[in-house]
Amino acid sequence: MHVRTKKQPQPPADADGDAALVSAAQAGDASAFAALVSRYEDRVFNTCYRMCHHHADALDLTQTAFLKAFEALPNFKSDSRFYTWIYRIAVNLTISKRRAARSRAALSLDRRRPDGRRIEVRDRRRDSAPERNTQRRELRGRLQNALQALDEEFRAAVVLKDIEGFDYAAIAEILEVPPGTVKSRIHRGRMMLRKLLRKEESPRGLD
Amino acid sequence: MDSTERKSLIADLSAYLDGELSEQRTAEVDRVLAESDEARQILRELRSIASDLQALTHIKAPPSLAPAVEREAERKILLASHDVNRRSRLFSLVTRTSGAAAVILACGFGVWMVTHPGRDATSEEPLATGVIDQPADKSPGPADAGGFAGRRKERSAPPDAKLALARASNDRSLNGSSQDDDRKRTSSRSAGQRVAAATSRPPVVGVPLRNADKPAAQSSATASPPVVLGQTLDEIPSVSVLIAPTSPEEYRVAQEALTNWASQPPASGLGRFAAPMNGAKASIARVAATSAIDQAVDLERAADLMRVLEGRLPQHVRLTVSARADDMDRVYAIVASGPERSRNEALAFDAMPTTEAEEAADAGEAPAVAADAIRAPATGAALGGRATPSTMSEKRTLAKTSSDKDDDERESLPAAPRRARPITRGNEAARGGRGFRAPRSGEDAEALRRASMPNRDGLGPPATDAPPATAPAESDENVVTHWLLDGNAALDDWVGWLVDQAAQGLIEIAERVQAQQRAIGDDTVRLRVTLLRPPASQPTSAPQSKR
Repeated sequence: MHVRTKKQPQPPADADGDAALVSAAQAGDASAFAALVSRYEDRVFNTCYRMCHHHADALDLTQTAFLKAFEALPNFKSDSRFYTWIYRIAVNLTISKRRAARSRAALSLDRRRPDGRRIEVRDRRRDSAPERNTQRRELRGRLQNALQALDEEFRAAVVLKDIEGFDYAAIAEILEVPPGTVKSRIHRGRMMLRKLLRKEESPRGLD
Repeated sequence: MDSTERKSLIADLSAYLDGELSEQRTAEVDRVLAESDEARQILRELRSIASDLQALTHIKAPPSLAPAVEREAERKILLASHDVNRRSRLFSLVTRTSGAAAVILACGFGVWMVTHPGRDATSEEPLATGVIDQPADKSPGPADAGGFAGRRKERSAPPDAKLALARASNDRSLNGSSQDDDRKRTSSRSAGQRVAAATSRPPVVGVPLRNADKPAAQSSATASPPVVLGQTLDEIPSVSVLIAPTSPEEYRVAQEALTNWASQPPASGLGRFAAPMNGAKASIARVAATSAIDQAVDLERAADLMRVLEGRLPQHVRLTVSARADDMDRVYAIVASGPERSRNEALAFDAMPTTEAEEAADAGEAPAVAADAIRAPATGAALGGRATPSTMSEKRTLAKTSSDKDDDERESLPAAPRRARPITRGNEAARGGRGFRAPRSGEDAEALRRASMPNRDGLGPPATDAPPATAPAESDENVVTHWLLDGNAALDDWVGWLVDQAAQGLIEIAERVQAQQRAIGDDTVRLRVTLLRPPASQPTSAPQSKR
C-alpha cells in the first residue's frame, strides 16, 4: 500500500515512551516488543525500501532487523535510544545486503557459458520500467534511480536526512560516525544526486 | 576570501540548508551566497533535491510484518524458556548434588574424627589435600564426549533430549570444551580440518529440534517459511570432490586413497557409511569397484577424506546447496548474506537460458532416467563440459562453472555422464515423499535399468542397487542450486554460514529427511567423490558397475 506523506517525517515525538516499552520487553513482555515493532515498522521499512529499492528485500531486512533487536534486547542499555538503535541495525543490514547484491550483479554480468556465449542476466534489482505518465512520477523514478546509484554510505545519510528527517546528531548516532562525517556525506550525496539528475536531464543522459 | 575558504563554505551549503551550522558559520555562508551566483545556484538545486526526496512516497510496511516478527519472537521466547528450564533443572541438580555431597562429607568427617580420636584435625595437613593431589580422571564422561559421538547421541535421543543435548553441547563450546581443546591441539589446518572445525560449531538450535518445538513450528507456519534445504536426501548440502588424475599413477593413488578411506574408520570411530545414497549398500568393495563415493556422512567423515586428498591429487572441491522456497527473493537474500570470501563464486542465480530453443527444452518432457542418473555427481557434468543440459538447474550448473579458470580446466577433463533432472517437489511427491521409487506399473523396468548404467566412456556415477525411477516433467522454478568453486579454502566459511543461517531459522533441514533418515543431521553432508580416468592411458583396473 502506498501512502503519500505530505509532511516530512520527524523522529518520534514520543520516543521517550520507548524506554518503558523497552524495559517491559526486557522483562519478557512480548506485547511491549510488539508495540515497539508497530511503532517503528513503517519507518524502518521505508528506510530499508529507499535504500535497497526492493519490496521483498526491504520486508526481509525489516523483519531481520527487529528480530536481531529482539535477540539483543537484554543487552540494550537504557541510556541509548531505541529508535536510533533499531535504525542502526536496519541500515547496517541493508548496507551489507546492498554490497552483496552489487558483487553478485558484477559477477553475473561477466559470466559466460561453456560454449562462449554470454549469459543473459535478469537483474531482479533493476528498477521497474520508468513511469512516464506524469512529470511527478517521472521525477520520482529519476530520483529513486539516482539514489540507487549512490554509494551505500552516502545513500544512507541522505535517506536518513531527507526522507526520514533525522537531524545530524541522530544520524551520527545511527551510523556511528562523527557529526562532521555525516555533514560531509549528506553534502556529497546530494551533490552526486545533482550531478546524476543533471546528466539524466541531458539528451545523452542515462535514459 | 580565498578559493579554498570559498570551497569550504560551499561544502557547508547542505548543512546551511539543514540549519545545522553555527551562527557564525551561517553568517559566513550568507556572505558567500550574496557574492556568488554559483553558490546560489547550487543552493537552489540542493534545496530542490532535498524537497523532492522529502516528497517521495512513504511506503508503509505490509500488515504481515508485525505478526511475523511477533510470531518469530514468541518462538525465540519459547526456545529461551526451554533453555531456562534446562538451566533450572541443572541448577537444581547441582544444588541437590552439592547438598548430598556436603552431608556425606560431614558424615565422613564425623566418622574420621571418631576413628581417629587422638588426632588434632587442625594440626595435620588439610584433609582436602589428598583429594586434590589425586590424579584427575582423564576418561571423558558421557557428558564430555563431544565430537561426533556427542552428535550421534543427539540424533538418537528423543526430541526433548535432543534439545537438552544441543544446549549442553552449545555450552560446552562456549565454555571451552575438550572438543575445543582438541581443536587447539591440531596444529596444521588443512581444508579437511577446517571442515571438521566447522562441524564443531555450536549445534544448530532449532533445526534438529523442529519436532520438539511443535507449538512454535505451528505458530510460525503462517509466517515466512524458512528456505528448505534437503526436501530429499539429494538436496542436503553436498561436498563434491572431483579427482582428475593426470597419470595412471595418480589414478592408482586416488583409488587407494578412496579404498583406504572406506576401510578405515575415522578417528572418532564413528560415522562410517552413515547413510549411503542411491539406496545402495555402501561397502569397501563397492568403493573399490566404482572408484566413487556417494554417501551422506558427517562432515568430520568427509573431512577425513579431504585431508587425505589435499595436496596429493588434483581435485575440485565444492559445496553445493540446493534450496527451495516459494519466494525466491528470500533465497537470494539469504545467500547474499553468505561469507564475503568467495561469495562471488557462489552466486549467479540469474543466469537463465537465452534462447527459445533452450526454453522449450526446459519445458519439454523429461526423458526416462534412473535414480543413478538423477544422482549423478553434478561435478562430472559441470566440469566435463560435454554433457547436454536438460534443465535450468543444469544450465545454471554449467553457467556457474564457466569462469575462465574452470574453462581451462574443463578442457582437460574427460566426458562425464549425462545428468537428468534434479529431484524437485513435483517428482518427489510422485514418489510418495521418498527420494526414489520402484518403477510404476507399465513402465519398462529393464529400459530404466539400462538407462541407469553409468557411462562407459567416462567414470560414471556409482551403480545402484535400488530400483530405478523416472523423473516426471515438472518445473524446478522454485529450486535454486548454488555452489562455490573456490576450492577448499572457503568451504568452512560456507559450512559455518549454513549452520548460522539454520540457527537463525532462515533455513532448515527438512523434517522429512530427519524423520526418514535418522543419520541425517544438521552437520550431515552428502559426500560425492568422482574419480576420473587419466587422459593418457586407461588404467588396468577401470571401475566397473557392480551391477
